[in-house]
Amino acid sequence: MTDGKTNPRRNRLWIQAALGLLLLGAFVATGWYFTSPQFNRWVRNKVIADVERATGGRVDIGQLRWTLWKLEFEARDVTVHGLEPPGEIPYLHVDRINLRAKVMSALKRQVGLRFLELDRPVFHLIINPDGSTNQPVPRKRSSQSPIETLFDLATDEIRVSRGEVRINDRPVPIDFAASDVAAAMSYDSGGPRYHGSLHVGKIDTKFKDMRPFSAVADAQFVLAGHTFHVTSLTMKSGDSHLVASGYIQDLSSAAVDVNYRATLDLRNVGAISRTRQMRHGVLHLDGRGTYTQSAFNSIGRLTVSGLDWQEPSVRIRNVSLASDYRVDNLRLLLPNISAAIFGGRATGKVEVLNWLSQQTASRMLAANPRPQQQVRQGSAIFQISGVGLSGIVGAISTPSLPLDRVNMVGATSGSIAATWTGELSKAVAELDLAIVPPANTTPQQVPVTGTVQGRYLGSSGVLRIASAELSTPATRVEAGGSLGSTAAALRITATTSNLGELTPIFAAQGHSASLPVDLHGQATFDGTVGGRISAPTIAGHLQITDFESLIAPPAMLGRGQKAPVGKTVASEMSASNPRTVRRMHWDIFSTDLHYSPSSLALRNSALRRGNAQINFDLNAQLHRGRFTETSPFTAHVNAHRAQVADLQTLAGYDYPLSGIADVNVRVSGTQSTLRGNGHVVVSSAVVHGHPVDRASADVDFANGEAQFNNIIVAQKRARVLGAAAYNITTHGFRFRLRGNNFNLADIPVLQQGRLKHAGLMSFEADGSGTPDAPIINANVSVTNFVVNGERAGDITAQARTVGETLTLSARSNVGDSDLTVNGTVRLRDDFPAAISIRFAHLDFDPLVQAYLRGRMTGDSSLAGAIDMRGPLRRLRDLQVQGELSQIYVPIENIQVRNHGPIRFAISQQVLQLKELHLLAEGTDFTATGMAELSGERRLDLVALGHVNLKIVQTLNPDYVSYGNLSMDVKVNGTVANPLVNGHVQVANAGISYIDLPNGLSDINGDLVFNRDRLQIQNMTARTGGGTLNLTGYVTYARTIGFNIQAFAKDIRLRYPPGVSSMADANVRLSGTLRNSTLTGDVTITRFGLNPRFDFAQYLARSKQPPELTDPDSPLTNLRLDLHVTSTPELQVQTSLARLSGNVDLRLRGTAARPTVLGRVDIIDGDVFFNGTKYHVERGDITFTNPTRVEPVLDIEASTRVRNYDITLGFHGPTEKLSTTYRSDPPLATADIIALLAFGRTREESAMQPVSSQNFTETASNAILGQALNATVSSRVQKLFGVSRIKIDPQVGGAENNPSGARVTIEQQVANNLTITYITDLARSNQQIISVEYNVTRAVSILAVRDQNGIVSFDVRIRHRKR
Amino acid sequence: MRRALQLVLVFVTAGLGSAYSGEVIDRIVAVVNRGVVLQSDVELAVRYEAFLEGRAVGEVSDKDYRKALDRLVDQELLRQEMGEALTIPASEVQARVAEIRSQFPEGRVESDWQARLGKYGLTSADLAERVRVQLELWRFVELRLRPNVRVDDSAVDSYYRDEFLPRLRESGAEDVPLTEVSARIRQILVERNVDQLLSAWLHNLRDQSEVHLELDKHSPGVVSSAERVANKAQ
Repeated sequence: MTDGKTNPRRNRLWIQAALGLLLLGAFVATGWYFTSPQFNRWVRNKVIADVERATGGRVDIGQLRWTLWKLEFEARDVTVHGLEPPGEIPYLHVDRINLRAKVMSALKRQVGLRFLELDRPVFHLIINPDGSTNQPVPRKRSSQSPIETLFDLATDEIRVSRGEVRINDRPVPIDFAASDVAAAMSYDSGGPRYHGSLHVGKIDTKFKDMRPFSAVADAQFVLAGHTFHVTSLTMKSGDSHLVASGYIQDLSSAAVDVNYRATLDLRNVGAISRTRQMRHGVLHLDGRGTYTQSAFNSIGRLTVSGLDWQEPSVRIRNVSLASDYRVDNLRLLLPNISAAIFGGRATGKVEVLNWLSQQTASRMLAANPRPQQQVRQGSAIFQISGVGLSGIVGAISTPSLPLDRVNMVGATSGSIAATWTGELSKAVAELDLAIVPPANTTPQQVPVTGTVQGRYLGSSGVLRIASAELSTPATRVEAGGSLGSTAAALRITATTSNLGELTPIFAAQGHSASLPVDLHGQATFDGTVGGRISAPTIAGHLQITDFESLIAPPAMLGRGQKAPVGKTVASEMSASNPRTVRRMHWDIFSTDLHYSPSSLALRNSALRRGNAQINFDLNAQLHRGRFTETSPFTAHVNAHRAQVADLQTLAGYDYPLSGIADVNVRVSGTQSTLRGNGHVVVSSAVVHGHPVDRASADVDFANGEAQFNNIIVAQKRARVLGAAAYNITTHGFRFRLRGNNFNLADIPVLQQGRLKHAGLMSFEADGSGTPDAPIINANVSVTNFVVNGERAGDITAQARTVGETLTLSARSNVGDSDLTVNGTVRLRDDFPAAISIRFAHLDFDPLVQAYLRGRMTGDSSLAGAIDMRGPLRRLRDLQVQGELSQIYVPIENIQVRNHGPIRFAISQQVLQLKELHLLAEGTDFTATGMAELSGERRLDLVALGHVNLKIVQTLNPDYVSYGNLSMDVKVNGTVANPLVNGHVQVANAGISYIDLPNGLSDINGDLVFNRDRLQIQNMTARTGGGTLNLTGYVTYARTIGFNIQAFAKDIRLRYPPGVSSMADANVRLSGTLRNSTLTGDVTITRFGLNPRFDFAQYLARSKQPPELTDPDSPLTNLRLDLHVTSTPELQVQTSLARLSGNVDLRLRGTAARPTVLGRVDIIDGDVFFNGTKYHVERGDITFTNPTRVEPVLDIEASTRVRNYDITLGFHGPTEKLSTTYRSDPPLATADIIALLAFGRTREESAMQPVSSQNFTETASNAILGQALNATVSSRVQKLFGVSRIKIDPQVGGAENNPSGARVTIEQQVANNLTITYITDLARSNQQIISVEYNVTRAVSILAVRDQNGIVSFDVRIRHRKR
Repeated sequence: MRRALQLVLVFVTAGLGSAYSGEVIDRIVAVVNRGVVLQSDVELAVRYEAFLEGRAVGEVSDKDYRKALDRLVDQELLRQEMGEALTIPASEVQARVAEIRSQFPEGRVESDWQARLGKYGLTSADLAERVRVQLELWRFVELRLRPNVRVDDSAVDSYYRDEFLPRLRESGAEDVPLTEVSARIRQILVERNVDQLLSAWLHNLRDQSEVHLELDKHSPGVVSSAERVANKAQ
């Protein structure tokens, strides 16, 4: 059944197998066919045919290959022949075309381009004179629409390399890669014309040697007949974009008309075109142009905004300009440039001929110039106005010459005219600029005035300055020469009176912000600047007058620390407190300067200050213009009569040394390897206050050490000889010195205070080490040591260092006295020491006498021991233990001695008085307690016993005191504010002060201390023979104050000298030592004058200027307010005065300078006034001047001369005393005066030969008399209306002394005998001597020897009628 | 009835009094604080001044009268300041009177002198009294003011240089050294200062005082004041 019967399932399998084989066979066959040359040829022909149909030209394809599975096709040597004649370059030729396709939709059979590469494409368009081209004409298919799409190409990426577009043999290279490219062209047979469009999403391209750049472009164009019309072209790259449209009207003439508008980001343009100077800005172009085969031209307007142009030597920022432009293939013209630059404006014109010419001037000079090509020639003329100088300075500032740091301001105007042939960089520019300062400036700005004329040569980059004058308020610079970016040869004369204007430049150079010079005068430089700007050489003469150098003290550098490299002293100074900077004035500094970045030379340098002058020469090598620690240098310093203090300041030291130095030193090397030698002489020196006549030493510098050899120090007969050395780096020292013949009396420090020392000292000392670890050995001896004239014997002292320990020993003995000092000091750390002082029978009279002002009445004696332990470098930690076993002091015959040892200790600056018990006659005093020697200075003392007050006056010899004082007092609080509690009893004491007229005696009473108050209880005393009761208190908290009431009875006061008064008083003394007041009432019960007291002399003395009183005297600070009255009709009786009167005065002012106000009425009496006795009939004396004692008199006194009773009136103050004269019998005033002065009346005088008045005297008298008459008449008229009054012109006039100046001396030698002596000063041998003897009151005998030598006698009988 | 008669007599007397007022023998012309200046004082002063100046009484004008009144007010103010009168010795008064008398030709003969006094309505007692009063006031002013005057050397120099020397040169005389004339110049300056102080003092006194001039209330009388003076003199 199986054999004969067909299985349908098996049959289907066979059929399927057969179909499979058939398909396989078909696939294999297809594959074979596709790779067969036949298929290749078919495809190639098909492509050629299609392209030929699309272009209309003949097409050749050399080779065509593809890889189907990659959809990649490659064609080589593809050529499209247009209508060009044979032999011409074909219409289009591509060496290789490579494209990759992509299947966009298999169902719709859409395939797109992924990649298209054209290698070396050459597009050749021939435009014939008749306008025809070799453009092939596509073949038209009749059945289709008139517009036929020739191609519609879109590709993701297209790359054209080594391409070329040749239009009439003019090649334009094309080399770009573009993405997202779509190009389409269609043929409109109705035109006929071609419509094309091109879109490039991103194109990367480059021109020539510029940087490649990317752009986006769109273009629409129409090609119809002889016209080619670009309807729109937009291109955008970054912030730049171009919009253009244009057309070629006649392809035969190839005349292109273009309208364009472009905005270019100049920063991008600069980057692409490798013009790095162009940093910023935007260029707008708006114009149109035409282009033909032979020429082109364009006109339009350009604007540039925000242009930044930066070159190494010039930086211009934010410039904006606008101009029309006109350009063709021969000329570029910017006719009306208007630019805004640096705050000002520039207008001008730029014209360049043959601007497209590549021929440069240098080529012109070549041997074979091409005459048909003209050289490029340009010119530019600018007028500028108001251009900010700060902008210009900023533009030309460089890091090496940062002129912009000086904030110069000014407005620049002028002209710049430039011409060039060939390249612009070869331009020659003429500058004529003037700078005017602004009207108002801020303090930070430096206004500049000036002119600059010069020529800039672009070929060499040199500015040749014909003349330049620039001046600021303090600086003036004149310059001439050349200045270039690489070299300069400039002659400069600069003068400034304010270096502060140049400080910013120095600061920019890396130096200090402030120069270490404070200029008061002028700094002048006259020299040249050459070399490169970045490394200039400066040579010339520098002079600075009247300036201060500012030097930072060395304390700013720590010990062993060196100044940091690159920092100047001034920079250190500026970082420190300016108050510590030391200033030193100099009159002048002058030097011949030669500076280059590698060397500095100062020659013939002189620093002068007053009489001192330092001359020096310096040669130093520099490292990039700086002096470093390793810079070698040589210096020769010669100072003549220089102040040591000034040299110290220069060297950075500040020791208490002064004097006049002559220094001659040569040094060389570097700072660390300094070598040199010299000689130093110092005269009239003062070292730590000690005068030194002369000091000299040889100085050697080596290995960082200063060695002083042959040291000689001389002061009077004293000499110090030796050698010393000091290492500046390690601070190590060594010395060996010998000194002798030092008279201690010549050492000021030993003569200060109350102790004066004398003696001869000599020493030997040698030492080494460092201040922290010294080794010192010394012997010191003083012979005939005398303190305050008291011999203290000889003193010898030794110091020996063994290892770290210094052993001290000293000894002195004279007579029985013995003083030894022994101790050790460890010369490490804080110098811990243990020193003991032992003394016995020590005569300390000089010490006691110094403080008790010589009240010693015997020899003192002291014995004991004092031990000190602790660090000598920290004296406050010193521990002192003392015990005085014996003390004996005889004061004012009171022998004060101790009872038991006096023990005390000092620890942590606290004095502990452990035991003190002193005994003397009437004195038994004990004290214990503590007192702080620093800080709050607290006290805790207990004093007990009684004291003889005579000891008190030893403290101040102005006081005299006696009596006994018992005390039981505790003192707490502080020294400034002691709190005292206790009780003091005064018994039979007395005290007086030398300046006070009265002292106190028999003082008895109790004083109670209550913290800060001393209360006076039951105090009585006697003074001036009267009694005095005192109550009140004294406070002594922060200042001593008092309020004491005194009741006095029958006290005699002898003040002023010559005046004795008895008074009762109730006065109060209150206030403080600085301001106290004495108030109360004083009633004078008796008043007496010393027979020698002359009231006139006293008044004259009171008119003298007050003596300068001690401002600290208690009398100066004691203000008075006393009311002084007298008992009614107080009688004053003396041998020459007998007065009665009343006194009512106020005593004011101070006790040192009292004033008096009030009135004294004199009722009757006789006084002795100006050497003459007068009977006072009545009078009063008033005191009205509150500033001084100035009595105003109104006294009527009578006296008798010859037979006349003369009454004188004294009126007014004693300084302006006016005197009235009356006489009985009556005489004219002139007669009275003549009588008083000459002893005779005018009538009698007329008998004497008197020289007649000359005319001048008469005129003078008349004028003065008339004036006086008029004055008095005026007053009379005012009061009484009477104008007829006569004033005798002779009163007070020359008639007073009719025969010249005379001196009259009248002396009453006895009650009844008066001698008068009159001499004429104008004539010799003319004396009148008269002797009047009053026999009785009515009868007198007068003997006269007149000026003629005639002696006459008169007997006068007076009879007075009433 | 008796009471009624008394009333009638009183009214009759009062009516007669108003109808026939008596002669005005004097009048208050100024009240100075609590003091008064009488018309007779002014008239006496005017006549005294005319006497001294030798002017005829008829020449006295009302202006002179008013000026004299002003001066009397000033004198009254000073007198009130003075308090108790200063004692002027009679001899001094007489001396001054004698000095005045010596200045007139009539002074040599007593009768002539009296006649001249009478011409001005004055007596010797009147003259002495006026002199006394003036001396009193003069001394008081001197005592009060002179102590306050200070003249320093510079003022003397200034006067010498600016006033004295120019006048001396005008007269044709040679210069005189300052030392020779300084004392007198100082005296002149003292007097000048006293003068100035006096003016200031009087001004202050008037300011601080109550001064009422009653002159205006009697204007009819005032008009004839000068005539009254003349009449009195005759």
